[in-house]
Amino acid sequence: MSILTLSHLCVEDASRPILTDVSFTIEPGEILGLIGASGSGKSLTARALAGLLPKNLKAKGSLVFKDHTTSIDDQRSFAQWRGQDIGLIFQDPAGTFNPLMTLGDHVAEPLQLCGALSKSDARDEARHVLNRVGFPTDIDAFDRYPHEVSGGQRQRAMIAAALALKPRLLIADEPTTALDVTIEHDILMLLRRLVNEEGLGILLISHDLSALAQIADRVALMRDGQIREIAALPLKTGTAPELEQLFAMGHKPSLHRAVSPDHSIVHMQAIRKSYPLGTKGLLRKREERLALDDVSLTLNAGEITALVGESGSGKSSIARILAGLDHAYRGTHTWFEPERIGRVQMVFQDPTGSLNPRWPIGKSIAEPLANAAPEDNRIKQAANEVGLDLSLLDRFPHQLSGGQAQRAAIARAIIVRPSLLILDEPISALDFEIRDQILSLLDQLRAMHGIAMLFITHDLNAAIRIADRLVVLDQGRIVEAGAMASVLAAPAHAKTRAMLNAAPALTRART
Amino acid sequence: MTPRTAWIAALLLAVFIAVYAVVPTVSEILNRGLAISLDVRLSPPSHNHWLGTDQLGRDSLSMVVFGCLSSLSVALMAVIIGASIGLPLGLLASARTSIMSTVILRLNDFIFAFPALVTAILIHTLFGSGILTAGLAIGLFNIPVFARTIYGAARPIWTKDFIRAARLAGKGNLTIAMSHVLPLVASVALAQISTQIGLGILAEAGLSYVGIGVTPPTPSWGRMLNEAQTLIAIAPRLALIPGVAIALFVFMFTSLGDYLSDLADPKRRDG
Repeated sequence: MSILTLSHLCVEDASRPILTDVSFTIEPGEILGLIGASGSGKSLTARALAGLLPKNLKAKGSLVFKDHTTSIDDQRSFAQWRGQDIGLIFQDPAGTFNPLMTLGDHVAEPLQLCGALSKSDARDEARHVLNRVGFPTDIDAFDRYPHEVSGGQRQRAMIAAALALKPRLLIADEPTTALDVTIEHDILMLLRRLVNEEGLGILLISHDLSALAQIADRVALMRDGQIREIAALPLKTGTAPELEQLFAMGHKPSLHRAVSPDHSIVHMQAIRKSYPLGTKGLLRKREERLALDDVSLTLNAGEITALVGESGSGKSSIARILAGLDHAYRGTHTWFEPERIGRVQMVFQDPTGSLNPRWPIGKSIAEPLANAAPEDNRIKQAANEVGLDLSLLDRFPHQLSGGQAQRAAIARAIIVRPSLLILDEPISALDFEIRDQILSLLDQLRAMHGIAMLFITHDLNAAIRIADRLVVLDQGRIVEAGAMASVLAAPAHAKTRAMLNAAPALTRART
Repeated sequence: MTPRTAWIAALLLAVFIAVYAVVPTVSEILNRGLAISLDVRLSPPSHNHWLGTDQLGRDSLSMVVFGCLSSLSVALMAVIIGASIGLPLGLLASARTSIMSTVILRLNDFIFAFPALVTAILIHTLFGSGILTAGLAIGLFNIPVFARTIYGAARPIWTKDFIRAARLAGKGNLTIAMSHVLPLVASVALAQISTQIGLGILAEAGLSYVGIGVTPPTPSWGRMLNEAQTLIAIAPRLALIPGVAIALFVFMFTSLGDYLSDLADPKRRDG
């Protein structure tokens, strides 16, 4: 008996259909992964299942849940189920918590309201649930406020709140997208454990195939508001060609070459950087947090160096110092290239945020050029090099897709032929299918212009795909550095091994 | 902001200008104008006085039309002073945290902390009364308002990635402020300008009340409002006329300002 059967869900707004004929079932103890590019209708499907469709949309379709057949726009049934039988987890736990309530109160609230427990019973039960989602025993999670715990722990609390009333179905909308890779792994494993232990069903929505591949039993591929394929994992050859293609994409051979440091661009020597944490008392010494501790690093022409580490490990501090945007540090960095405008360029994580919303794309690309005319040939050449359609040069950032905007940002960076290109998480805001295109583009540009690239990422798979050297940063220290092949073969530091283990291996889904 | 609202506002502007051009001549012909004639005081609207007369028998239509000039010149002057000094200061303070920005922001607080009226009286004793004094007194208090608003709007823009990209393109703070930040805070500045014009007209009323602003017999919307206060039970019309004029004027200015800032934003231009 399935937990949920969704049949022929169609959603349309005034002008066009958004979801067409979406049908699937979720069995007890099963995780159904739903993957698709942004805008493909994943989140809207999730909202429909929770009865939370925007009011201006028209929905058709039926649903069998708890042996009860109902129409998808039957608000009364959903009001009964939501929270009780259908739990919800969102991407950003910080935004869903009330900052003035403790985590315990958040979990106890539904127990009191819908579970009809007394206040003290609800609190006892909440403690129990919080323990079940694996909070470390030395933290009393119950009395902590959301800002006092890490992102991963907030997501655990979110899961606890969703599970408090023992729902049969959990809808998880990008639950790990905002988390570090090792923590993502923990959260995914927690979901898998809960499914195995309690027999609930999960609809896990993600644009990250590798996350799904780790724990989902079946995967549904969504494109343009339609379910294109549903297949069980591991995939059998020939059953789901589009999914297979996607898996293959994340499985391309590594592009890294043997390291041959022919020509150094810059050398950082013993860099230390600390941030003041505010004073305690007038005369006492200022407390400081060390962001970078004795970091030394050499970057070579034509070589891609991957800098990986968790958030807060100091990756961005290194980028800012190298880019000359931060001067408050100790240590030296020596350049072997003459000082000039555009010697260092950067590509940022959020492609649309890195382009001025009021400027046409062509103007943004031309920015590093001193007095360039709008018709300057260099602009067209740069656009061509990054594979950006010339007709897009007159458009504005909001009219471009994420991938196109990121190509424009790369064009701006290479138009002055930088010696060093710093890539700060350049693909993590992009859809799965676009990521590989951007990586290939970067590899081409490296080969074409011999630019040194510093590729900052938390995505070890992407680093392995294109980088020649790997540098692992942990709490401001470099714990591992070396040629990619040798680090992969024999990781020296425990942190590297932990990251390699947590890195979602797509191979697992194929065997 | 729909184009239709903007059209209404533009139409209103045309009406204001037309009335302003026509009414003085007409009232001159009809020989009413601003002359005091106690025998017709507080008369209701009639063939001779389309909007009636006030407590001194002056024609209300002429009063509201002539009053426009003094009220508006005070408010406009105040906004020009406030925006031309406050806007660059706010932009400068937002660029980076430094002694400069601290000084600017604390000076703001200093002006905010001073009672406005005391400062106005001080300026009055120095320069005498009149449109200029009123404009200067109100304008002085507009400076921190603009500086604070622009600072608040510009601060988050400086942390955006495209600003970092501009720095890497070799641009300095001044160039970035002019090419990136200013156009993005322009809509906020425009909105603040329309608000301050409305507030300026009201402030002018207050100053006129204590004798600092426009001196009688020059009419102003502010003083008309104030004088109507005591007569509100007898002739509410007298308060209504300048009130409606102010409301229409502020509406017109805000709508046009909004429309212009929409035109500058490609995202909203499409939508």
